[in-house]
Amino acid sequence: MEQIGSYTTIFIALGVGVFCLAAGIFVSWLVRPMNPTPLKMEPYECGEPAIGPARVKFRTSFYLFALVFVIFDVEVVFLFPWAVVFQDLGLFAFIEMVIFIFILLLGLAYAWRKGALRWR
Amino acid sequence: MSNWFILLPEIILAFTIMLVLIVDLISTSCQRLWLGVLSLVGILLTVICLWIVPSGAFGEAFLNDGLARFIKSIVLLALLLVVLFSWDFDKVWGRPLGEYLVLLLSSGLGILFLASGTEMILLYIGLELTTFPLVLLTAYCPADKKSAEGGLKFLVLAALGAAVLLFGFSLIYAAAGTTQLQALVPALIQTGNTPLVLMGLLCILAGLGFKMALVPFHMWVPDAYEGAPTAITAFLSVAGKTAGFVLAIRILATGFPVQVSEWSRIFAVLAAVTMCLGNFAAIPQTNMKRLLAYSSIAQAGYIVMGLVAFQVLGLSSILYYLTAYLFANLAAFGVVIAVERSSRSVELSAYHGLAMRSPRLALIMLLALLSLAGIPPLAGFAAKFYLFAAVYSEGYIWLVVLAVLNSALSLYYYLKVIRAIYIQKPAADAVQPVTVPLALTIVLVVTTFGILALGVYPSPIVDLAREVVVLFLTP
Amino acid sequence: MINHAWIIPVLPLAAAVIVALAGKRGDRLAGSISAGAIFFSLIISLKFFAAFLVNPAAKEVSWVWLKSAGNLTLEVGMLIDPLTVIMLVVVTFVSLMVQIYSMGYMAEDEGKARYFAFISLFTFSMLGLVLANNLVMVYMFWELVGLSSYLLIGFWYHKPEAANAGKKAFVVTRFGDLGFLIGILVLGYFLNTFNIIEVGTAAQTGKLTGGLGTCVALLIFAGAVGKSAQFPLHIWLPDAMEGPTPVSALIHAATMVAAGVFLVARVFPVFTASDTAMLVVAYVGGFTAIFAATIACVQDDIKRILAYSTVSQLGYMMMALGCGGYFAGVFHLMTHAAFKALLFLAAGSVIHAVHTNNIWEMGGLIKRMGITGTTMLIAAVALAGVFPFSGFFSKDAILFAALDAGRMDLLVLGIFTALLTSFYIFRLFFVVFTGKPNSTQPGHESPAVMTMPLMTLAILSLGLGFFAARFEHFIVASLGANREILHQHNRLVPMFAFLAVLFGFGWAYLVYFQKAISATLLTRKFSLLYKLLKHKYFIDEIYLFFVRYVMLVVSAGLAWFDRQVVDGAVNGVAWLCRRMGAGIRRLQVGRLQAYIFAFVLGLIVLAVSLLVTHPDVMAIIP
Repeated sequence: MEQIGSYTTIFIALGVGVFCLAAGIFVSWLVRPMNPTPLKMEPYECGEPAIGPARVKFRTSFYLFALVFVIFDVEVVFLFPWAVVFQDLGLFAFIEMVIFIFILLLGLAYAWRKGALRWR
Repeated sequence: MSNWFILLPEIILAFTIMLVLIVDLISTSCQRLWLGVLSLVGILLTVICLWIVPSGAFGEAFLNDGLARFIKSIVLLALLLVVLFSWDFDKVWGRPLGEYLVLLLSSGLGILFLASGTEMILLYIGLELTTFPLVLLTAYCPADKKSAEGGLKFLVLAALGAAVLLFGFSLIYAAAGTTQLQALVPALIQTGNTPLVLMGLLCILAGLGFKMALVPFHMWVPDAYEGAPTAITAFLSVAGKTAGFVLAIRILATGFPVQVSEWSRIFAVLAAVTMCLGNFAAIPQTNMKRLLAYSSIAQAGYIVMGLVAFQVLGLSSILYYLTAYLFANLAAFGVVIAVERSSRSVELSAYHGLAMRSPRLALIMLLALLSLAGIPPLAGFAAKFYLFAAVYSEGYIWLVVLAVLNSALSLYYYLKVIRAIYIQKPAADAVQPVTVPLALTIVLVVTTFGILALGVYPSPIVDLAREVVVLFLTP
Repeated sequence: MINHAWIIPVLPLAAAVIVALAGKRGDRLAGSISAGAIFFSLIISLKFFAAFLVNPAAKEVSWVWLKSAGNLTLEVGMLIDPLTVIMLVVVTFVSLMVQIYSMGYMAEDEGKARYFAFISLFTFSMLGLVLANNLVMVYMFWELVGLSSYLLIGFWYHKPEAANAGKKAFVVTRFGDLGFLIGILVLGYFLNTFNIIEVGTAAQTGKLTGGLGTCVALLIFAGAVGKSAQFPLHIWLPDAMEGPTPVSALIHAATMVAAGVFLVARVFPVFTASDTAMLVVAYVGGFTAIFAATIACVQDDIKRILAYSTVSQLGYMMMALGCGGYFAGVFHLMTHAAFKALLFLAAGSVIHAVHTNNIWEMGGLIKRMGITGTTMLIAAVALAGVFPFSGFFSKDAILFAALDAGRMDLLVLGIFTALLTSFYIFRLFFVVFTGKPNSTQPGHESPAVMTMPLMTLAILSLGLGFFAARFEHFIVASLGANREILHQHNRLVPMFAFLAVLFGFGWAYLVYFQKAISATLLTRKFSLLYKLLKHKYFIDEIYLFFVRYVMLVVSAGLAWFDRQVVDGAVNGVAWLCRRMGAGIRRLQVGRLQAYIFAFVLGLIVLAVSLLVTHPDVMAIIP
């Protein structure tokens, strides 16, 4: 029974939200003046004129760098909490962390060797 | 923490992966033989270790039981044979072997975790570890447009499937407050079948359906299978499917035994639709890889019936079916690879008159296809027999009738291939016998032996599967 | 020990596979490999035989092959009892003799490797059939026997007669096999088991009575009628002589035709449970015996005479079994295996020498082919049933069985058949081996590799009978229960039988040796009878007529129906499948968006269906 109450609120909120949105668009469509000129139909009325397609190609090297960055990112995410409680965890956690860092290093070495760090 | 010994097979495989990567980094290209040898040794050590380490749980997330061991053995066998398939991959496809093997083994490692996971987050990680190397491998030859296309489609749909599955997990977590599968049962009994739980379950089923390639979540299969290098297609069709089914068994049997009436009904419908669509769509195919892709969809439709009949018989027949399917499918793909090597084609026309050129290959293909169709005394017959009997005894008679009709229907396209091999005349320029390298020969011999042995004398595997499932179902 | 029995059939199978795989390269070794394998099988069989002489209790090993959800289990297993070991020894022994002989006989043949592969396969099938512990396995090996006999009869497939004879053997026995299969299925349906011992127990405890028991027994008997060439399915056997002569020896003595008699003996309790079935078996056997014997009296082809003789002798065995004479039937199967193999191999030796099958083109061969002639004489005497040759003892047992069963009509029929048997076999002997040598034919003794088997078999034909009493206890032990062996020791029966044999011999002697009575005069005098016999009672012609005219009209109608309606339906289904396939293929448009759409649509449909099937959940949502 309790659940019914909570769902009802959600659905009411949803309905009200959709109604407000639709009403706003409808009202503005109803009352607006229709007077288009070519200048008004431009995407932006001011600033740079839009030239060429919106899709721009990026160099894949950006992605490679980003991925290598993620390696260190993840490393730090794990290193911080580990460093905080380092004293309590002891040797076992230390060995685990060494293995972890080794794996990440292996990833870095791989990327390096394969030339992912060279800007071409 | 003390019983990390249970994780030893996985640790060995992970270590092998890193070792292969290191060797690949420091070696020159002429030493590539070591990569394959290293992988084989690693897999073999993993298998041996698998049967040595005791059963037991590692924390609440990882369980090494008989079921896990059975599935892992199947997967590692598939892995072993696929490594042999790709023995001179770099020569044939002109792409590096080191990363290929690393990705392949990583995917296998993911399946090992899927087979043992008893916690939703670990299962999800395992699933990602399984799927994404496969996506990369599918797109491993970007110069080939089909490979790139298949990889992209696979990637997007895998992301969608994983997202839906994860969404389902999160809904279930919202309802039950735990991600541990065993703990779900009492929690869900308490909440009852609220819309939240049902929607979560539904999303999980959809995610599983993607992995098992059930209609309508199967759309990626033909394109990915066709685009991937053939050895990877073989791995996808065997190990990928096994992963999906073991995931389903784990999640549904451990986490949702109470809701069995809900999902078994859904699976019954999906099974019916899947086998019909797979078989019908396979009929007009002229590309062997696409044909086998649709055939594997149809096979998934049969196997899912074992989940419908969710009892000892049903589950153990799934395990047996997967074993039989492994041998038959890898044998068929082995012949496809052999023909592809010599004629650079996977079209059906490349098989015309194969019986005259290479009678042994033709015979292996015949056995493999007849086993897939379920003709006695081959492995596929015993598998279908047990599966259908299990479903029949659970009272889904309409499903069994449909499955039998579908088996007859599947003969249509299997025989089409056999007709091409045995009756049609070879093209004028294709008269040379197909040469088969040693590694491939080993695979073909092993799989052919498996097809025959499992068909003639299925009892040992059947008994093992039954024992494993009984232990699994009685906590 | 019993666990190792599987080696016996596996050895010839391995030989078959090796020889077949080696192909032309193994031509020279093919015979040695096959014969070697069967030799070891024989050794092992003899060990089993010795073991069972000490302890004749039946032993069974089996593994589960397939187990269905119900309690119906298909097993792979072996059942070994005295009947089995006797058959094992007979089959391996005759096969060994035939293979050794074949090394000489087939020395110059092109397809030697193929020949030995087939022979080994044939032997394997028969051994598997003998060892099987359940009827499904029996049926599988039964069909394998049929297949390999087809391959061997049509061995010289470039000869149209041989190819046709192979086809005929396959198709005709198929009629009986169908009955056998139905019988097995009915049995499995009602008794829930295919195991031979369990079926036997069920039959003995009265679970197979009345119409069901009779029906099952007769259906199984149909299979035996086909394989053992009983009337009216006997027509394939005389044609089967188109195969190489050693193959005929194997088929007629140990493998193919013995299978039918063996089958009846194997499921004997099923037959004894129904008086009607026993009656049918006895009379079909009896009729076949005399029917085939009369035909054998007028044939000109040496192998054809022997073929009809086999049909007749098989009828004898069936008659014995039908009268409840288990021992008599099995023992005659054994003795017959020895002397019939000998007769065929000797005939082969003759044919090898003179290159013709027609007995009238031979003559006086005893001078040039001493060993062949002498061994042939021994076999002939054994077949005729003269004391102390083996045939005497087994024939006596059969006649006693008829007497025990109180069927005087069958007894008289048996004695008359003995007379005819004696006549036709001595006719054959006198025409071929005595009289004036036919100078146009070279004729020489065959090499040692061919005469050795002849002499070995001759010794057996001579000596086997003396062990009749010993065998009787042994064989009857297969039936399980300690059956009492009772005989009316009637001196009159052997006396009459002997008189009949003597009469038959005298008749042949007068007509064909002394030429005191002109054969041509006889044929002219009884020209109608002669014509009838010469054409084998026109059975083939009747079948042919039936097939050609009656069946043609029916089948023309059926063919129309088949072509228009059935084919139409089948093609329609195939067409439909193709169309469906093409249609469904179009669903796979290749656009990624469409794939995602399908995925999400599937999810929504499932969600909606879940909601529809759960009205209680619907109720929660306002």
